[in-house]
Amino acid sequence: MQSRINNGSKANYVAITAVMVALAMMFSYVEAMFPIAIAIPGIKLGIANIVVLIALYLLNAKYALLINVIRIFLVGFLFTGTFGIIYSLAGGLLSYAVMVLLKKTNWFSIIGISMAGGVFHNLGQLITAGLIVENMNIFLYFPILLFSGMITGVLMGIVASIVMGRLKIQI
Amino acid sequence: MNKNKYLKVKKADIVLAILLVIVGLACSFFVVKPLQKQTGTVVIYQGEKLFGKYNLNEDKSIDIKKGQSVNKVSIKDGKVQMQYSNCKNQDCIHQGKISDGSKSIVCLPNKIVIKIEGKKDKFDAVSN
Repeated sequence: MQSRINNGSKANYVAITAVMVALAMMFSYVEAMFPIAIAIPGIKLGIANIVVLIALYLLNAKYALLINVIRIFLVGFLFTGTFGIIYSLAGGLLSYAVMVLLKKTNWFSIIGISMAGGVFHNLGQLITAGLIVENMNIFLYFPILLFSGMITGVLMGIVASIVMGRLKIQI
Repeated sequence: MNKNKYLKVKKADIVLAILLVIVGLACSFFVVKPLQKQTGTVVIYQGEKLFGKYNLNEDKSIDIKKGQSVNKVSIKDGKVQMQYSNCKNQDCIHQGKISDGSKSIVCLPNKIVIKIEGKKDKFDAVSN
C-alpha cells in the first residue's frame, strides 16, 4: 500500500521541495567528504543526482529543476565557491535538459536516463572548463569523462530505481 | 515484496549505451590521437629580434654568433638544450633540457631566449 503525503496544496509542494533540497545538499556534502579518489580528477559519483531523478519521476520536471538549481547555489555558496557554481550549473542544467528530453520519449528506463545524465553532466562541465581556460585541448579528457559518466550514471540510476521501488509514499 | 517496476532495463537503454561507447571510442581515436602528436616549435630570440624557428622533432645543432657572444643550441629527441655558451655565469647551460612550453632557457649575458611554442604545456591552464 502506498500512502499519499500530498494533498496538492502549494504549501505541500514547497515543503516537499525543501526536504528534497536538504537531502540533495546532504548528498553533495557526503560526496565531497568521500571523494572516490581515483588517479583521475573530476570523476565523482553524483549521488545528488538520485534526488533529481526521483523528483523527475515522483514530482515533475519543474520541481526537479528547482531542486537541482537551489542545491547547486546553496552548496556553491557554502562550500565550493564561484567556480564551483559555474561548473555545477553548466553540468547540472545540461544533464537536466537531456534527462527531461529522454524521459519525454518514454523509451528509456531510469537507468538509461541516469546514464545519459551522467555523461552530459561531464560534457557540460568540460565545455565550461574549455571556455574558462580558453584551451580546447582539455577535450583530450572527453573519452575518459564519457566512460566514467556512463558508469557512475548507471550506478546512480540503479540506486534511484531501487529507492523508488521501495518508497511507500506517493507524492 | 512485489517486483520493482523501475528496475528494468529497456532496449533503448542498451542502444544508448552502445551509441555512447561508440562515440567515446571514436573520440579517443580521431580527436585525441592527432592532438597528442602535436609537435612543438623551438623559437630562439636574440635580443629583441627573432633568430629562428626550428622543429622540435628534428635533431639539430644551431650556432648563434653575434659579436663577442657564441652559443650553441642542440635539439635532440624532442628536447632542447644549450650546449655551449661563452658567457660568464653559464646559467643557461645549467638550466638543462626543456621539452614543453612551461619552461624556457635564457642566457642573459648573450641576450638569448629559447622557448617552445605550439606544444601542449605540462599544465593546460590553472583555474581557481
